[in-house]
Amino acid sequence: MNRRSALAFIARVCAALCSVVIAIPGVAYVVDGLRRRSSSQSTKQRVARLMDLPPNKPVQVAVVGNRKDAWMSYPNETVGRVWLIRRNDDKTPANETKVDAFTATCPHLGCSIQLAANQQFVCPCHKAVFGSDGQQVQAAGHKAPAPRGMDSLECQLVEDPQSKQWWVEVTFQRFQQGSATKHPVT
Amino acid sequence: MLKPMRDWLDQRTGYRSLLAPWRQRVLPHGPSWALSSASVLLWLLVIEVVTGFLLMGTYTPSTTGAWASVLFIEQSWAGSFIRGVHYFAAHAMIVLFALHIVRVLIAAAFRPPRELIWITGLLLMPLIIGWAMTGNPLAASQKGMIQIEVEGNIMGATPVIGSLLQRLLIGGDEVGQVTLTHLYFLHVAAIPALALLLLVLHIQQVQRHGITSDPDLANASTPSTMLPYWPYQSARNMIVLTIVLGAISACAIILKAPLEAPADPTVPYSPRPEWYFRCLFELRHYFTGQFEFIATHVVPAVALLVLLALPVIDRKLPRLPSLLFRSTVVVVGLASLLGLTGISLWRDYEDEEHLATNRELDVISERIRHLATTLPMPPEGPLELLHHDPQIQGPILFKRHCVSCHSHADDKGEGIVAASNSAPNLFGFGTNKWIEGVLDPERVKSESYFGKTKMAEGDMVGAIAGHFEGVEAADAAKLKTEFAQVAVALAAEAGHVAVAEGSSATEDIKAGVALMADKFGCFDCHHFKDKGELGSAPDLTGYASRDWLIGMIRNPLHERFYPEDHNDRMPAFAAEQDDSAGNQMTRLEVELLVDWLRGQTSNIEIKPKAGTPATRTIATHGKN
Repeated sequence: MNRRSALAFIARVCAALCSVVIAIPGVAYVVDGLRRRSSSQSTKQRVARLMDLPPNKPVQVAVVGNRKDAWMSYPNETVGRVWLIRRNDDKTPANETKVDAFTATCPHLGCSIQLAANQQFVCPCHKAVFGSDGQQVQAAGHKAPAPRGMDSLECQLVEDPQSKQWWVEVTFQRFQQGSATKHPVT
Repeated sequence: MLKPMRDWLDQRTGYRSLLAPWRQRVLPHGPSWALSSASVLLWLLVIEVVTGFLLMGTYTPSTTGAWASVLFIEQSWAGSFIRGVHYFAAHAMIVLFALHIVRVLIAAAFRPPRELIWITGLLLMPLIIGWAMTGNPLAASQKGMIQIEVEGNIMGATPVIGSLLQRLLIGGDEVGQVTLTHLYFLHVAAIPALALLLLVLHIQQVQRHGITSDPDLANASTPSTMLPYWPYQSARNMIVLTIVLGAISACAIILKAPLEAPADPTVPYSPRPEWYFRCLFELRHYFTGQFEFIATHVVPAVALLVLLALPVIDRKLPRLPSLLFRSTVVVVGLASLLGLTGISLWRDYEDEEHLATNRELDVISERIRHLATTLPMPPEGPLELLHHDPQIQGPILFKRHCVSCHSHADDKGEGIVAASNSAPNLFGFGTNKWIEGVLDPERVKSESYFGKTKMAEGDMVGAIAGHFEGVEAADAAKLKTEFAQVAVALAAEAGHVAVAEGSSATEDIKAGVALMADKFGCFDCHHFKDKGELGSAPDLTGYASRDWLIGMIRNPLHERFYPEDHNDRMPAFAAEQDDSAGNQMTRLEVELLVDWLRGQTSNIEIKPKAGTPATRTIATHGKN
């Protein structure tokens, strides 16, 4: 190895070293976002009184919780919306009444599902239509866009020991969009 | 392996022939270490741009978010390193820039036809400093925000256009949100664009006219110096760059880029400019009052003008005077820069008050960083945490309201010391150790307790002395143990002694209360639960508890404490309703002061604003 090629080698090694010193932390810094997880775990909370729910008519309620956004923490903010459907009429005793809960987030690409005039659920973004059972409805001449039906949430009726009123308690969760099966966002 | 790829690229782009003039260029005197300054500066600039771009991906230029976003970056090792490199490389660039200018001066490399290289290079210097100046306040920390405020005011003192420029920079009358956005714009868009323009012109000129060395040797090239730039000069450049970057990385890892407490007027701080303005800062000591503008404006402007005019001045001088003149500029320039900077640093080193204030800031900075990493950050920003933390606010409030009479200093005299102790030392107030002092005939008369108050002649001091009067040494020792039990009983009222079933303290408390009632006759003057009456001496029920202290500070004239002429000189800090304009302290301030006095600094409760539904209680040590 002559002097010239030795110097060329040294120059290249030094340049590579300097690049690596910046590049490795640079990449680690960029991918650090992958390591950070959303702090919104599933929250179980009372969202509505049973007496406020009309039979067989979907009602939307808000789920309130602590929202963490990067370094900020917002207490008592709406973290999600839920559609509730009371399946029995108001003559059925509360402990025999069934209430279904669906998250209002569309399983397709995450828009907010609305209620149409015909009591069907419609996502405004790509016109996915869901029945009152949450299953996707195939509209004529329109390929159903959502990969699965609306995501149901764990839901039960609880009686408040003090006021003796019945409440709907929902375990709110987020699910990944786009897949045929329901996977919670972790 | 790479060669076919490079060939392929070269056939399409012809990059080799583009680089050839640079690689094959022959330096007049051969390669040298000194010539690496320009190349290293350029590569440092590239590193600044790369790390700057990375930081832009997370940083948020808002008064509530900036500090928190910088801390967010600091929370990963990679973010901390990238920010550290960005910070220290900026300092390194300014040092290298000065060295580069000195080298060019010595080589007289500004002579025709190289005037434009000199001028563009010189103009880059203030631009780079402006670049650093606009970067320092971006974290919205105490140091950075005060610096930009002062720099804005200096700018405002410029004749004719000063106040206009200042308002443009600050974006209003006060440093605030728009200032931060303006600084961010200048730092990442305006200054980089201008620098790029100057740099392109500078490099184009260097390529056109070549690098010079001493003109007297211009024709002295020997075959041994006829070496191409690549790899003979390049290797030197890269070795120097590696050493410089190594030093920068070491600083980034070991020292870390600073992040002081977020800017807030209540945080104590003794501001100083960055080291590269130290010489001008020192110069102001010699030009005061109406002559201050000489230090802030005339001297830097004249220095820059002399340097800019150097090609013209030099042309008129013969060889020897030119050498003398250039040497004078280098020697006088460097000597005055280093000398003034040294004197200024020495002044600070001698200035105990300045050092103490900044030690306080260090403590607060560490505390707020601890809070911000362990507590959820409120949307209102880090100041919300800072304003609700007793450990930070306690000493600040104590110094503002209490230190004119009270000290808060431990056995070694360390802590907050009053210039004249004219009231009790409140360190450990309400603990049994503190109360034992009140029950000691000598100590209660001392400066640390009632020595300098009218209570020194009062019933309490008299009563304690009475108990010990004419008592034998053995009995005095017994008395002391009994008074120690009384102290435990009272400390339990303050909540400083845990009252658990079966603990040894429980026995002491029982004994202490019995002693107060019977043997010592405390309740002849003091009220205690169902015994004694209020009005002649402070209430011992819940003595030194949170409520007791809040009440005492708000209004010592209340019948629970020292009504009418029982009070010595203690002012009522919040005698009126909560937060009415007549009060010297807000409810929150009194609570923070009391929590700090009681040493309960582990809990922060942020009260909801009007309209917020629930109270947020945050435990310092609980992770969210």
